[in-house]
Amino acid sequence: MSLASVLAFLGLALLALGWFWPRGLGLGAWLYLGAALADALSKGVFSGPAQPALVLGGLLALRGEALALRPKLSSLRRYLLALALVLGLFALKALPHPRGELPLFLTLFHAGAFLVAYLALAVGVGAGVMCALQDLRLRAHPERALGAPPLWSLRRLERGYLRVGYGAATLGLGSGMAWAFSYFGSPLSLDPKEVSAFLGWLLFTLYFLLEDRLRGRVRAGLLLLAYALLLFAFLGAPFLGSRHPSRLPP
Amino acid sequence: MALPLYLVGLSHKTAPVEVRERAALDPAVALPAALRRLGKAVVLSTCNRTEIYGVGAPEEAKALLRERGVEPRYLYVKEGMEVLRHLFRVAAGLDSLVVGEAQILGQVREALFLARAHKATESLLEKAFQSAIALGKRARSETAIGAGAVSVAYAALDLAQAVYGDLTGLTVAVLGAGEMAELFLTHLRAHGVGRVLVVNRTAERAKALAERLGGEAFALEALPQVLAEADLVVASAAAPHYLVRPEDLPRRAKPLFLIDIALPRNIDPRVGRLPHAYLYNLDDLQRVVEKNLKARLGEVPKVEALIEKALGDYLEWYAGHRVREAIRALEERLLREVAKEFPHADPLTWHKEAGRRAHPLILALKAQARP
Repeated sequence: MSLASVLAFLGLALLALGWFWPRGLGLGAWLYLGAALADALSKGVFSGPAQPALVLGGLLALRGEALALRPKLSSLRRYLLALALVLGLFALKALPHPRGELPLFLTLFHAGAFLVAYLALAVGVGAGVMCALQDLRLRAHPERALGAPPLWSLRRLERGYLRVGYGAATLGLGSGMAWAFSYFGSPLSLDPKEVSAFLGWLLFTLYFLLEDRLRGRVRAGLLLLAYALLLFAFLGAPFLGSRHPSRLPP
Repeated sequence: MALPLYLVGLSHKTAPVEVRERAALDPAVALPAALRRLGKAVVLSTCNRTEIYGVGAPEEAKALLRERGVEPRYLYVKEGMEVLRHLFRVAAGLDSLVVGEAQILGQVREALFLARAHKATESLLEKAFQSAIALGKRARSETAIGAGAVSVAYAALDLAQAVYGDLTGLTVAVLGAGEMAELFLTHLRAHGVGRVLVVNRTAERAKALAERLGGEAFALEALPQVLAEADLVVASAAAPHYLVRPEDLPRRAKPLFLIDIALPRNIDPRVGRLPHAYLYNLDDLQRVVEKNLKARLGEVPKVEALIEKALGDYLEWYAGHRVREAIRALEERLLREVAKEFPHADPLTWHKEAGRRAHPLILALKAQARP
C-alpha cells in the first residue's frame, strides 16, 4: 500500500467520523489533499483520476466544514460530506492506476478546469436542489418551510457556484474536445466519458436557458441529472473501458 | 406526613376575564399588602391567573380572594403534591392559554422575587419555585414545547425568515396604516429590517406611522415605485379592490415576500403565481400557527415526564429536609463512636467511616419521612 493510499484511507475514515464529529471534516480534508500531493510527487501532477478526486473531495469537505457555522444549511453540509466520501472511495480504487501519458498543457488546463467545475457545481447543484424544494414548500405547504434552509441564501449560493462551475466545465469540455480532435480526429466519439460529460454540459445549458421558467421538482431533477452525468464521466466511465488517454497504450 | 403546601387560585380555565380582573393583585400596592397578610406565601398574578401558594392552611388565602369579589365557584384549591404538580405545569407552560408560551416562566420568577423582597418565602416555597423555574427552562430547552410561532404576526415573521433568512437591511413596504400593520412592522423592525415605506390613501396617517417607525410616507399613487423597491410587503389597507396586481410588479431576481392581512384582500391572488413572489394571507398564517400548536401539543407527554422527574427530586429533597436535624445528630453520634473505636486514626478516616456507617441509616430515615 502506497503512502498516498494510506493517507487517503485515513482521510476517508476521518471524514466518515466527521458526520458526527465536526473536526473530522477538516482533518480528513487535509489528509485527502496530502494523499493527492503524495501521489502527484510519485507519479506526476494529475497523472490519473485519483488525484483530482482527492483534491475535489478535500475541497468539498473544507467547504462543508465552513458551513458548520451556519446551522440552517446543515443539510447542504451533509450533502457535501457524502460527496467527499464517494470521491474518497473512488480515489482509493483509482490510486493504483498507472501514470497517464497526457500532454502537460492538457493535464493542467483540462483537469484544472474540470476540478473547478466539479467543485463549484457540487455546491451549486446541492444549493439549487434544496432551493427548488424550499420554493415548492413555501408555495404549497408554507408550514413545512420554516425549519428548512432559507430560500434566498440557497439561491445566492446556487447562482454564484453554478455560473462558475458551468464556465469552468465549458473550458474543460472545450479543451478536451480540442485535444480529442487532434488525437482521434473527432471532437466527440462514442466513449462513455465523453458522451456523459457532453450530455451533462448540455443539460446545464438547458437549465440556464430555462432558469426563469423551471420550478420545483423539474428544476431539481434537471440539476441532479446534469450533475450526475458529469459525475459519471469522472467516477464511472473510467471503469467502463474508456478511450481516455490515460488508458491508451504508451 | 403530607406536604404542607396549599394553592388557592383562579385562571382562564375557571373564571371569565371580569372575575380575573377583580382578582388580579397589582405588584405595587395590593400584592405587598396581601403578602403581609398571608405571612409565608408566593402570589402569581398575571392576566390569565391569580394564584396564591403558601404553607399551612388555605383559609386566609380564600378569604383574601373572596374579599376581592371572587366567588368560591371560580376558585380551585389544591394541597400537598397537587400544588407542586400544578406549579410545575404552570412554569412549563402546560397550563397556559397558548401551550408552551414563554412569558409565564418570567412571571413565575418575578413572583418568587417579589415574595423574597417582602420576606414572604420559606424553605418549602423557595425550593418549590426554584424547582419550577429550573423545570420551565428544561422543558423549553429539552423539548419543543416552546417551538414555532403561535401568533399570526410571528408566523409571518417566521415565513419571511424562511424566504430571506436574515432580514437585516431589507426594505419593507406597508400598505395601509392600521393596527395590525403596525404590529407586523414592530416585529420586523425588531429583526433589523432597513427602510420602511408606508403607503396610505390618507397621507396624514401614513406620515404619522412612518414617523413613529422611522420610515418614509408615500401616497397611493407612488405604489408602483414602492413595490419596485420593496423586499417585503405587508398589505392591510381598507380598499374595495385589489391594490397590487401581477402587472404592477416588475421582473426581479430577488424574491418578493407579501403578506395580505386585509379583508377584502389588497393583493390579487395571481401575484402568488409569479416566479419570485411568495404571497400569504391570514388563512396561510393561521395554518402555520395551527401546525405549530399541534406540534407543541405533541410535546406535552415529554414535558409531563420531566414534571414527574422534578416531583420525584422535590420529594427526595423534602424527605431529607424533614429529617435534617435527625441526620445531623446521627452523623455526630457516629463520628464520636468511630473516634472512640479508632483513637489512633486521623480525623479524615473517622469522617469516612462515620459516613459509611451513616449512609444506610440516612436512607432509611429519608424513606420514613417521604410523604
